[in-house]
Amino acid sequence: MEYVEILRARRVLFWYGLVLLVQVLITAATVFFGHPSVHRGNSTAHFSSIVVAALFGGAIVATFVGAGLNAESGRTAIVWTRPKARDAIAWRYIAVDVVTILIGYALMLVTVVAVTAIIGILDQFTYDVAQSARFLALGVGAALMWYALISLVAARLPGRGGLIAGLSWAAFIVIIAVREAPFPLPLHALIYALNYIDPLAYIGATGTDQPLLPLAQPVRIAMVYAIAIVALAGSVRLWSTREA
Amino acid sequence: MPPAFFSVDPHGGAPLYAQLTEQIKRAIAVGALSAGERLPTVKGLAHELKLNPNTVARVYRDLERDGIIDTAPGRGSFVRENGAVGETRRAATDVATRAVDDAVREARSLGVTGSEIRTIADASIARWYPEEQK
Amino acid sequence: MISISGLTKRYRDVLAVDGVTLEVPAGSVCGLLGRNGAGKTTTFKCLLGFARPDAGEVRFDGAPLTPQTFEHLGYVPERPELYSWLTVAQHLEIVRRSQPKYDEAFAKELLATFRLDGRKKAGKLSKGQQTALALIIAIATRPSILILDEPASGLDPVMQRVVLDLLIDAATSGATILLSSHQIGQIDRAADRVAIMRDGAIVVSGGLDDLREAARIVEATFDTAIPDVAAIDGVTRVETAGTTVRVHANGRAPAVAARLGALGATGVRVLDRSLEDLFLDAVDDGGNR
Repeated sequence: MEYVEILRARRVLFWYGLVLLVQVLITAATVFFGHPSVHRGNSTAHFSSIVVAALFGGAIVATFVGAGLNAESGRTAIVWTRPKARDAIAWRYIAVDVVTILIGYALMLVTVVAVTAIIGILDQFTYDVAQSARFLALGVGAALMWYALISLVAARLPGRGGLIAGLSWAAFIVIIAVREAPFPLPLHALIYALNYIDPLAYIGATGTDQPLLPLAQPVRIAMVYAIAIVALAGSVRLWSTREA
Repeated sequence: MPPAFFSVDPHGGAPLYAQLTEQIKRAIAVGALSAGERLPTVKGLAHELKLNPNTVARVYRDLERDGIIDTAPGRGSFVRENGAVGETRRAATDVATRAVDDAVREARSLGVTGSEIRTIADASIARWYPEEQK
Repeated sequence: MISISGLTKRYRDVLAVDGVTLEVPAGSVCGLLGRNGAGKTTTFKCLLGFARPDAGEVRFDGAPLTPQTFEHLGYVPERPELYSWLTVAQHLEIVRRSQPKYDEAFAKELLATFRLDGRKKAGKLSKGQQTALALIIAIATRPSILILDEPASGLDPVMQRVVLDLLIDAATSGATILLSSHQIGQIDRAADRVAIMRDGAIVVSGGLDDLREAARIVEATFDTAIPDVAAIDGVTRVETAGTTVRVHANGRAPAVAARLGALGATGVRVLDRSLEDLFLDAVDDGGNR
């Protein structure tokens, strides 16, 4: 049954890859025709900040595949009449989506590296393999958590998957943006609590890893995966016990 | 015996099994189906008439019960060979009896008296059986 | 065999399915009739596990519904639920990959019968073609149990004939079929059993022939005063208009007709009722159709 999701993922990755490719080509053309828009100074940027920023690649793909299971709510007659347990069908969809998100993440990373290389600032980064690996784990985890939360919220709202996926961007950005705003205390506490289910809040603001949450990095890495798994289990349960 | 010989009409009023039974009896009576001839299979006839196979099977069961056809498992159904002439006649009288009965009942509801009907019947017989008048 | 007992489904304050009990024996074709909103589709949803009934039980060949049931159960929904961005062939690929009993040759044959182009996207198909594809998806595994919710809607008369053909073929090879349809002529031909739903409950059910037999009406005209015909054995309902009475004979039409004749009726007629008459009688809500 995951065949449909493979086709859906293939379609998402095709368009996503095409947009990234165009981005690389535009950058290359800009440099080639001589518009040195980047001034070469002594930057202390860490390469790991690129690694974690590729999270947005994963999140973009998650936005498109995250509503996949939800979209099947309109195909009950096909999806729920297969001789397979509904939970098993859902988990197979999720497996396809996770692989797609990983590919999306990797493509974004490759694109960003390619763009920086073309501009000629790749040598200005400081490299730390262990740190990059930790940021990769955090970034991938955050992308998966993003995906899992879309799935969870959309599980019982047939036909609303795309809307929820789109709104997730606004919601996650607003939640971290207003966390320090001077709201009355109850509202402030609520927003602060919501930060714990915002994947963006788990990411350090820059490569220097200044967390928005008062948690050590290993804890944050563990939490994004834990939240992702719990949210996915919840969405599978909600989806398969839904009434059509 | 082409199965297309029969046709049933869901809007015809009478139940479809009754329509089909009547038609098979009629086919035997007029000789379209002769003694010993094999009837279409239940499946074949159901498919041909676009009729539920259980309905067709019921018709065959009724015809067998009435001694008009024989069904040999695995071989199919046949117009009864043994005493075929008698059964054919019976099928014919069955059909005729019903037709005459309907006509008489209709005439009575129209207020036609018994003796008038008899006159009509005699005239009709004279018209259709000229050889019996000599 | 499909056995439904005491099936009840309530949506908030609406009793959508009200204690439905129905048995479709193996190899039988049961037509489920009812006006829109009578509860046919909800009944199907409960049968297939799409909705959880509040009470009652459903069994297929004696066993409750499990995912494995769908290896030999085909379902055609009221409205085709297809992937507009997938081709006809990709839809069949879904079935091939998920159904161990998928019959590829049969599916190809069906595509040809319905003149469906495998390369065409489902979103580009006409309404009738979409119905046909949904039907092919359901029967390409040659299921032994078929549940069809208005399988011929949107099809032209020729295609309706083809669907009828497929149903009769399936029935001939022993499939148990439960179908709803507004096309009573189709039910009359394809079905040997009928159940009529009204306001969530089954109001009439049984063998089609028996029901028609039971529904025959005897009409009699009297010159004199109409005698007490209600006392005749078998008479269930009497309608009088002038000197004519119509009595519902409850399956004893010939005997009742003979008795009326003996009572001095001048004209006696036995009227056959069509399935349509039975249906209209069953769903009649007092001249307010």
